[in-house]
Amino acid sequence: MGAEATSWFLFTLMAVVIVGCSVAMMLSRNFVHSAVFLAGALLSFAGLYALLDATFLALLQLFIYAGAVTVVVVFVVMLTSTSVVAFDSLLQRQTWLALAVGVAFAIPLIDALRTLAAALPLAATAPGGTEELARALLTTYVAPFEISSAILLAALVGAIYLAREAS
Amino acid sequence: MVPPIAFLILGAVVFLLAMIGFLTRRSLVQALMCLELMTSAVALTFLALGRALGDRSMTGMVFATFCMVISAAEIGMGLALVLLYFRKHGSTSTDDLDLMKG
Amino acid sequence: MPVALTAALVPILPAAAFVLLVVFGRRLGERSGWVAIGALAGSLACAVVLLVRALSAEGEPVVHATFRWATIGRFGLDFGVYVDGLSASVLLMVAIVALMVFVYATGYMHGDPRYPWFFAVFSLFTCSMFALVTSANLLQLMVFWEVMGLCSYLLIGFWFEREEARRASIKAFLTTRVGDMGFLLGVVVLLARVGTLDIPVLMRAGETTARPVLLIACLLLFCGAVGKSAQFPLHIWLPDAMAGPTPVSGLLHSATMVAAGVFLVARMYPVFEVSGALPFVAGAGIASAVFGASLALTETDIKRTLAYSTMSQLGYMMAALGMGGYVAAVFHLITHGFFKSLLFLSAGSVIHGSETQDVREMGGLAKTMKITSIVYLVGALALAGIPPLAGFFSKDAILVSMWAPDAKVATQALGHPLFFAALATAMLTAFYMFRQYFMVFTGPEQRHAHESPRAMLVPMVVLAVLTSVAGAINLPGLFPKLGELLVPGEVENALWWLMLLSASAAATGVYIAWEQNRSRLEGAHDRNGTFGLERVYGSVFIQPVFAVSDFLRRLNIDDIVQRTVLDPVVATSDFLRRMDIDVVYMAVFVRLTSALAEGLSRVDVYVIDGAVNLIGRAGLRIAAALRLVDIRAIDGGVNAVGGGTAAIGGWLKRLQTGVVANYALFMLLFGIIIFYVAKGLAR
Repeated sequence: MGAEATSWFLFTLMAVVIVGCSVAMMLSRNFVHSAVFLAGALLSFAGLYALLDATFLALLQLFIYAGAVTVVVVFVVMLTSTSVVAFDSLLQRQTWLALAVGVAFAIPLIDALRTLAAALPLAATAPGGTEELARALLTTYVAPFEISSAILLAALVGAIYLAREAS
Repeated sequence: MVPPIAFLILGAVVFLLAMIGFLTRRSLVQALMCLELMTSAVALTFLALGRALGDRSMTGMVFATFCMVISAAEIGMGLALVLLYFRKHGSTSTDDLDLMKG
Repeated sequence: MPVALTAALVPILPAAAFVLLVVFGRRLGERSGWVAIGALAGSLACAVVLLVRALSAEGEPVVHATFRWATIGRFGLDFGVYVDGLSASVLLMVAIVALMVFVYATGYMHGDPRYPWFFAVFSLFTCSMFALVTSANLLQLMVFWEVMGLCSYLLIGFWFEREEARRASIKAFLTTRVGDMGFLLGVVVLLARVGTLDIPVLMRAGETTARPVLLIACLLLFCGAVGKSAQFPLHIWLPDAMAGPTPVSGLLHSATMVAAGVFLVARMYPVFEVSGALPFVAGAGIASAVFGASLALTETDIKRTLAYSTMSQLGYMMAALGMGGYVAAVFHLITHGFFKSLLFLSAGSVIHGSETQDVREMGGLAKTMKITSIVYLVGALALAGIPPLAGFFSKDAILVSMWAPDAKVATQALGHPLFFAALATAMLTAFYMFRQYFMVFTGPEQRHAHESPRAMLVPMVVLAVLTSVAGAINLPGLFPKLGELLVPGEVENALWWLMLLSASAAATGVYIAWEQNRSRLEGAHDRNGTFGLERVYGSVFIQPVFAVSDFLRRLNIDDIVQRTVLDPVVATSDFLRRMDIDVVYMAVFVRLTSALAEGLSRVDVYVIDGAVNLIGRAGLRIAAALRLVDIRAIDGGVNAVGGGTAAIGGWLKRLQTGVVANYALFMLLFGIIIFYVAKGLAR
């Protein structure tokens, strides 16, 4: 199998896993199962990032999402002890309206994709690896980078503050 | 190699799916999970576009990184709020989030 | 089967068992124990194959296969297996001990509501130990090192309903984390200065890298080993960790987790050798050896005594490594794995049978628990170093390495004081083990006990047999198989007078224990006993020793370490928790805002009010004139607008449902509408 076929195979595999896991995640009545499907989808995203030669982002995705986020979700599911949905229906009343909004979003998206499909090159290589990313983050984008660390810190403190037991 | 447009299509599909899920799920936790998927799809789009445009300033990857940061912060806060709400009201259903009624 | 696959299967099989038990555990019930045992038996078979290969490999690594799973900048992250004589021999020991402990646990944990979960975590734990031993890469080793730490946390706190178990598991986790910080920094230093984490490459790092860099890296790595192997001063978690189920102690604190620290130093031994860090290793080791033995003297909890002896024996190994006794240390690591797990398992059997952990409440158990008492005796003799049991040979090898240290790493001037300290420790070891043995198994029966079920006895007997014969793997002069395996071509000398000396030191310890026990029993029965030999012994040997042990206890080093190392960590998290964000906000934002508001209000009163008053008076005149126009024309218009607004508001009110999900929908809906509008305008 050549490199071309391999990358297509991997892409198709991960695309199927992502879509399948996303749908299964939304349809599952057991939240723990949902979390497992979410982890599957996020893991495949990590694979896609790797396929796009963004190794560092793939690793981040692996550690932060497939690891940490899923664990936190499972924790919360267990803490709120409603692992199986007790609602008579999974859907809300606004389902039809939601589908309409989805279609409204889909139209310009398809439009944009059609334009892009004509304009984008068929093959492209990554403009740089982890080192270039690090350089960009610490030079051009140093201000947003620092701000995002402040956001993370604020979220951390806020989450602890909110979730702690009332004393 | 797989052309970048394939990644963009996949990103759009997942984004739409997750958005519809986000709007229709009754469970807060599941809604938050859908949000995670949406941001991941956006990050994928950034990456694919950055690659397709051969962007030397690495903007695509940088923005994907920020996507991750924001959604990590968001899921942390979101789950803390779910926990807090559950402690106060004993439910994690979006239907019960109706205290803002005028 | 390719040999790389064999090596990879060793950790993969227990990992598969872990996944299986997590998913199907509830359905399998108590059969889950046998799933774990089956996987482990497979690992054992693979380990045997690897050892056979290693024996004929003549010092060359049996397997070295890696694959690169990520590249970050200049650094590649590899994953792989690396098996040489050291890993093959340790692997086999771990596999045997783990298998025995698993079988034992099927009996010990029988009836526990979380039985499948126990075996799942136990499998993951064993898997991480296997993977650690076969790691080809220091980062991989560290990953499994941490997985093991996590499993130890789960296992020590397995009975989390108990306050002390919860506390002990947190303590164990945090204390080892303190050492792990050093480990992590050491890995970073090596990566930065050597440029790779590949273990075979690192072992030759002395040729390319400056010595001071390696010294720093090795000392940092050693911090990790100190934490994991419960060496002074990070030993404080080990005695408390006995709150876990006994099979956990039997595996974690004999052959696996605490052995990982010694293994790390042994794995990186060539680097330690050239870096000059070994004297520090020796110092920390001998301090732990003496200190642990002294603490064990007056301990009355059967498992805690064994815990202190583990600390002491691991100190022996570290000291031997520090003196260049690489083979001796690995030899002792292996024999210690056998006899210490045997002792823990028998202690578990005693606790199971007598339902107490306090040796003062036991006594005369040899009558009811015959097999347990015999295997315990075997273990105690081995730990004390009585020939011909395994412990004797390995301890002797360590003493030899101290008497005649490797000239490359240490001098005799350093070795001889260490030798005498180790010899004294050997005597203390014999004493406290037999003090305990006599208190538990001889004398009058204090409470009713029963022998344990067969599932527990069989592994104990197997381990007892292994303890008796394991010394044969490295008979100095006659059959130095392990030495050949680890360091081919190096001949070790046997010092016969030293063997005699160490054996007699151990015998003296046993004798003192016997005398002390007799005087204790006589004291219990006949208070006005005669002035006899035992009293002389008592005043000459026992009293000073007890005085020292008591002094150490009163000094309470545990407490000092707890206060200087652990408490700041807890205090920081406490501080963060208590840091009242309300107060901060109050101080910063509310005060600031109100000050600003006050200032503005002054401006308001003096400047704006004046102006407004002026305009107001003028306005009054004009207003009177316009009043007539107003009543007629404008009121009508305003009323019409007001009515319309109210009607629209009444309709829009229905949109404000208060349900957050609806708001999300509207947000997206209006977002897309704005998009279309913007697009239309742009056109």
